[in-house]
Amino acid sequence: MNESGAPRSNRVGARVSPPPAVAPEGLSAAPTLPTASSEDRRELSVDDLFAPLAPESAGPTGLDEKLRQAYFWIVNHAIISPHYDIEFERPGAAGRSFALGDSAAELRLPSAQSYSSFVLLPLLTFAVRGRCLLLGGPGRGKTASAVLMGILAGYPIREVRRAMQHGHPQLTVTDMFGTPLPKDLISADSLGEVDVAWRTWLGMRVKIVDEYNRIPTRTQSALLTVLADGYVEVYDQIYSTGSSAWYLTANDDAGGGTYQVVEALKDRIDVVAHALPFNTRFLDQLVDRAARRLRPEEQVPEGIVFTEAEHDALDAAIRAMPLPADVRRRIEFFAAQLEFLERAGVQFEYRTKDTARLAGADVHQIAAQDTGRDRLSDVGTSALNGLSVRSLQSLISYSKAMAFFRGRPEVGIEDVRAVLPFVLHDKINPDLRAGVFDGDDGAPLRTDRISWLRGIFDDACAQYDTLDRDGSDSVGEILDELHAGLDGVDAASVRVRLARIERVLDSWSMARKLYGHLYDDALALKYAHQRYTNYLTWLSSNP
Amino acid sequence: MRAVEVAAQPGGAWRAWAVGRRAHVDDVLARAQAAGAARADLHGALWGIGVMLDGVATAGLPAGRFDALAEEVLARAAARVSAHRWHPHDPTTAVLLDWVPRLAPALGPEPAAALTDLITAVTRLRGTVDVVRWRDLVGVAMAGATDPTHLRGAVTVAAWRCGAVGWRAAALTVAADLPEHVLGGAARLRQGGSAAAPWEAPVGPAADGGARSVLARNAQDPWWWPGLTGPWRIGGFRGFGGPWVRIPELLGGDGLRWWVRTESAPTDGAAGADDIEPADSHGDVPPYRYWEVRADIHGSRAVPRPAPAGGDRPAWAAPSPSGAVAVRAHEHSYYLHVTRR
Repeated sequence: MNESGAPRSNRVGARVSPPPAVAPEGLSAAPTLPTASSEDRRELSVDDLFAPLAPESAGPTGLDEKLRQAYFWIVNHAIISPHYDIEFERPGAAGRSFALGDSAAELRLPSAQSYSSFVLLPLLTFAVRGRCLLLGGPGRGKTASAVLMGILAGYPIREVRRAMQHGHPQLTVTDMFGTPLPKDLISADSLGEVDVAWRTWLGMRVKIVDEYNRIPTRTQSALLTVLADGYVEVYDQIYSTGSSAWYLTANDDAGGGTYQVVEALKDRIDVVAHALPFNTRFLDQLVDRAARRLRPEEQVPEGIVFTEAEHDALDAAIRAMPLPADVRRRIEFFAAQLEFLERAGVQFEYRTKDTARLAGADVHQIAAQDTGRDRLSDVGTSALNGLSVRSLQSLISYSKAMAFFRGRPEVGIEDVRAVLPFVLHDKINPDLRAGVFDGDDGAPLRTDRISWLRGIFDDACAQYDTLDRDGSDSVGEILDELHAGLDGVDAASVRVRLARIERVLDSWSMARKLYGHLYDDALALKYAHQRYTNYLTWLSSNP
Repeated sequence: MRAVEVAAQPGGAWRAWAVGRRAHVDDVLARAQAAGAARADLHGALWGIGVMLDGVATAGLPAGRFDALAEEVLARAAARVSAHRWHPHDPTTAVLLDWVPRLAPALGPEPAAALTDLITAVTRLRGTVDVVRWRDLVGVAMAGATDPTHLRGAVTVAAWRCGAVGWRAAALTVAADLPEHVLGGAARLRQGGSAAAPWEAPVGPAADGGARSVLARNAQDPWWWPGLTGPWRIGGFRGFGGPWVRIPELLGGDGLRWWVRTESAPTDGAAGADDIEPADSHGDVPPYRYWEVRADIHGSRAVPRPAPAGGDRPAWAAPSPSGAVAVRAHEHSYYLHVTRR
């Protein structure tokens, strides 16, 4: 006890921490995502007092911390984007929200660290080496954002600018990828002998195609091969580009531009980021930059530049991020709702929107034939198509990247919810004639696709909870039993399992309407039944 | 920056050492600058350690030990400057400039391990103890020591004495291994000390048990210490350095720990000074926050805890704990009030 008789913690200033050291070039040495130290409850010993501390470098130079440092440097010094549209709430401490205006527009104040999608999504694309489409009107910072990503990869600003491909109506395949050497064109006896002078940008880890919707269709097709398969072919010569982060920009994604974008090219894009409008309250920063002739892309601190090895390690760390089964089940539940279209076929497997689409039929008209289904709560009725495998891969990849960026030990449902609207932006087409888009509440969703997608995911999660799918999942149990292997399982056990499958299907046929998640579950049960049937046949023939 | 600039400093052992090892010092400084150390920052740091080392040499540190200490101090200071962390609030800076002058002989002929121990302990306990008094107590305890045998023990006892209540058990344990004079210095228990200055609590001669008997009695009664009779206060309003933004309600205790709850406040959580683990991870804001308060005569610490399962208090927290002191919460006070029964 001190002289005043008060314990130490009562003293003013006793808890004051030292001010964080701030390195030059605007990077704070303070951690971007401070976390509580976990306190051990056992009695502390002398050895505990002198046990080595976690190295300071573990935080500030960890790759997730470096990624966050890069994010905060960009939002504080480069792209003026004071938006926090990717919101996170602290568990158990939801932030406040306010209803503003006649329409009671909800403004939420998130209780946890939240982010600007326009800065964060390109950064996550850099981390996972994905393909990002930056959308927005001229002068909103799309190209600047893409250039910054090139600089984060360690390329000099001049090289990044030179490597940027500008879409224009006369852009040919050879303009874009490489030109055959004129000498070889004259002397070669076969195409294989024609050497191609490949453009240097093809080998870079960050590739930028500005105004990709102004590129002619034929060149778009060649671009598709590079985007999708990582190689380019000119005059029988193949150049492998390796994995890289792609940034494509467009002023208008709704059919504008000089050429319609090839559908397959659109499908290869992993994520769509919208440039948000400039907040005029931040005009002073623009004035200051102009006065100082400041160009942020020329001032990127060394501390946030990723070497090739770090970039590889970043990619590997994100891939290794665990995706827990309960989170995966919710993604499955959501995705299952979208593809199912009960009246599209006769055979069970063909009752999908894809069947209707391939037949050139109107999905909305077929969906309208369903009766007895709650059209507002059924997630699938507001979408014209389901999710492709590629979309699901993108969703998982970006969810992992989000969890990694937030310093989480594994992917949480909030990470999936955060990236899902941006990943599925161009992947799921809304059925604007569906009831969910009617009325005062639904009409704004016609134009705000992000909110619509997030809304249907929330609805699916709510249904998942209502059905208590975490607690009771007989199909999951049946599949787990099957995936545990059939070695040593005797015929009698197989018959018990087959009977269980049939009992589950029996119970469904008597009691339930057919919804998307049941449709996928039923097909999974058919798969399990078939595997057991084949195994039983094999057992019978090899007694 | 080069060693020759050190030579421009006023003459002394440090200047002589640096000039005598010019090539080595130049090498350390060049590497620091290559790692990002600013020249002005390096200059400031070297000036500071130069003054400190000159003082140590003047106090009579043998030449061989001075060489080893200067070498170690220079390397550590250069590393901190390179990391942009050389400032008065930095634990390494504080140890090199403030602790080393008091402890130089006790660091031994190879001071690296002892310096690492000191820096580790100061870093770990910063913000929870009175560092100035802690440093002084360790200095007094280790006065006359020529090796770091008892350094860890002295640091631990002194930390507890200065408010690190979490290390109470460790201090009481290690005290048994410390010589009487080291223990007396670390615990500030001086034979013949003045009763009017509780900080220098008087104890009888070693023959009567001395400091050891004080600690033995304190082990039984955490609120007993010679010269201190209370009452005492624990906790307090966060704005004044305490842990709470709502008035605490005492639910129980076991004589050394108390279980407290406060109403939830908007500033709990992300914006709060303490990061509180949520009691409920499904979105509902819990009505209360729970705290485990550990306190004894020398200090207290409140740690947020999850809500106990099945009730308001964990098994160890008795509603009316027995003991030498009574702890009460008042409706109008952010403190818990401790009085002897």
